Amino acid sequence: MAPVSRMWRQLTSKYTIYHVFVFLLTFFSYAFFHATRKTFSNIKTTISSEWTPQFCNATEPCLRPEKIWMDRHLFDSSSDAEPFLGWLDSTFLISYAVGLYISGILGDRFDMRKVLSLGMCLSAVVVFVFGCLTEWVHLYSQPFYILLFVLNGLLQSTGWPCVVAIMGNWFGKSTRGFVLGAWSACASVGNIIGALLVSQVLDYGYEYAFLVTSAVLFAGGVVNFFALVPSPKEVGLPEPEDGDNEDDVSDTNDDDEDETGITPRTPLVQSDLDSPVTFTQTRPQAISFFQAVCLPGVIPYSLSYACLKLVNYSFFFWLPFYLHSQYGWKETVADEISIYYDVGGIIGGMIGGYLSDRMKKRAPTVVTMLLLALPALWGYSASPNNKTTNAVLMAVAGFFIGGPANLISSAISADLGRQDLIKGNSEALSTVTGIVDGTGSVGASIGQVVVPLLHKQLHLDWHWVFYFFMLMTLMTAVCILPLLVREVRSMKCFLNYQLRRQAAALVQDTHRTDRLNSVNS
Amino acid sequence: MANPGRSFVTLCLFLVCCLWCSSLTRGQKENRLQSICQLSSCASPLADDGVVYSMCQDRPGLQVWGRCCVNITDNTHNFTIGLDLSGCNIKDEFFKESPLLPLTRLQKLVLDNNPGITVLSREDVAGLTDLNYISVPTHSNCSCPGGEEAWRQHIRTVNTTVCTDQTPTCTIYDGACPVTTSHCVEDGPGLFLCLCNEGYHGYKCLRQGTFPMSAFLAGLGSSTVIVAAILWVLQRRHVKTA
Repeated sequence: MAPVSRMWRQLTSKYTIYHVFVFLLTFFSYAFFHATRKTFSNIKTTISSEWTPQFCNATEPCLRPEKIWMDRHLFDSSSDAEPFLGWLDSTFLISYAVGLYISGILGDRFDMRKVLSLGMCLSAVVVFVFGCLTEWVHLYSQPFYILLFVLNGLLQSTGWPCVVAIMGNWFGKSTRGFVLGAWSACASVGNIIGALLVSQVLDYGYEYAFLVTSAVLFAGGVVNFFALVPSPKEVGLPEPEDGDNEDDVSDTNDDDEDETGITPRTPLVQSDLDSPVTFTQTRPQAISFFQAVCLPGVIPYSLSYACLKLVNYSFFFWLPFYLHSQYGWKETVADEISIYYDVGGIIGGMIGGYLSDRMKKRAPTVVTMLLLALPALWGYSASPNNKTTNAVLMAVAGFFIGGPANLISSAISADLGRQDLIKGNSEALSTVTGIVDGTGSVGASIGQVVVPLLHKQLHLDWHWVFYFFMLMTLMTAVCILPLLVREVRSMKCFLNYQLRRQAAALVQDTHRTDRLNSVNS
Repeated sequence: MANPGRSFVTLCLFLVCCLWCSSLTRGQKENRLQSICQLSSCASPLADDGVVYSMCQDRPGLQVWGRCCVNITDNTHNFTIGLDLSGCNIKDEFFKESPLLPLTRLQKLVLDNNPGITVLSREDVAGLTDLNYISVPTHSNCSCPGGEEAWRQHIRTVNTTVCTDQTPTCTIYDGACPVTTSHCVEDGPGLFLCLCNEGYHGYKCLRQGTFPMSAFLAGLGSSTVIVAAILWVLQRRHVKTA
């Protein structure tokens, strides 16, 4: 029982009730955002039949009464509606990418709780207008839908930079990889919540699917407004340790600290105790957008995330379709199997995060995973027509692609926004997260154009799509390469430093024993 | 709306308006019925050698009324069950406003000696499910509405084409209606309706049941308030403001 109680003590000394609720609130905030997005992708079939008249031709008579079957003419047929639905997706992605840059900047300048709450509530209103109100008043108009999707993309983009920044405020670098890796499951959980809610109410009419998910999102915004504490400073708690200076601290939780007595931890603990006293509400000035871009690591990680999110989102959008067309599996089966990609991504994010926490360096873990993603992708493209094998290979691909993607978009973004260079002097977390994820979304929207181009326009084999994914994954790794070199070099230095210190301690010890011996003698 | 008396008066006024409107529309309907029985373009009264006339003579409770044969046994509604417009100089335009639509119980329809009729489509006789005898002028284009397959018998002579007994359209177009949500209903020669099944409603009968709106809003609203309150007590209450 002793180790358990010690672990418990360690946990409670590190985490408070605030940490628990901040984790849950941000988790579900982003999950609800994703649930409304999932609603749209799950009602596509229904909504395209609501927009169109019943099919009829020379052999199949047009159905009557017209009011029930032929009344609506937004499109002539469901297949005509399909490109428009794709357009809506792209519109959303582009305005989401633009919005991320803006929301990130807003998050650092205004109270993140208010930005997030307002974003959630307004986005809920837009989703409600799109899915529910237009159906109630029978307003079916393409330009209006596009306009609503632009608005929705902008408003939904308030979510990610704010929630990651808030998590980054509460969870320090030494545990960030694991905690944020686990936390990244929020998107997948949101997809599941969305899919469940939709299937529960779709029979009442597709508008109720939008009503329910948007109402839940709105409620989440209200709860956040009254409950969320965006930074430990607000309740008089110290900010978590960050930067590289605590590198030699984290491991001192081991028992040898009792023996040596004085450890490098001591001053840090004292400063921790001091901070509530020096606690101020004056918020550090926010960093400018261009300053944030120029922070070390921001550009390489943004570019790499653009390549990686392209692959990741192409999987998200095209996997069910691929399974359907390549193996002829039913769409519901394909939907179910594609969940394993998400599962792999969550596990990959957690394990990768944990490893990078232990190493105190993110780039080596990420690059290793990305390089392993190449054979994983190749293996998946060569999967036999067997559901179990395919699911396993998919989970492996998700592990090595979704895992690093989760890491970069959450833990690494938070690291970059709270690095030593700006620590305590300015707010950059939300801006940096916005830049990384925004650039990633630009990549994802390019992927939305390229994948159908490769597959449909050029009539290339699916293998070429996978070669393209492999190339993009490799590009991701290449973008991080400079950082990898630097981090490995600093690790070497650090190791040398540690070795030298241990050697010095040894020398001291031998001196002391020598002295003792000489005194004794 | 603070004054209950005033709102009551408004309600009464509204109801009176509704009654007046409905009586007005009913009056229009009767006028139309009369006008189709007494078309000014008909040169002569109903000839006593036609099928409509003989039907009216043979069966009790029927009465000739202009060009119509009307069932007068039901004193609230008079059903026109026969209509003979032969020699009334009917043209194609006549059917534009679907004048036959109110005659839902029509059994026999005679349109002989009307060279102005070139096309008679099934939509012109939509909804006439009881129609079992139709006689149209013989033209190259003009045949019985709904085509040959809509009728059991055709008798084609030099001047007129007579069709009797509709074939059930729903058996011809079996499975045309989306089977789980709707069912087929006859709607006159060559026509059918797809009506929503029990429990289904809305456009294309896609909807089922009614969403428990008030329960949902009450549940979500109250739980939001409770959660927000609890979390405020646990969390934001401790926030120190400058």
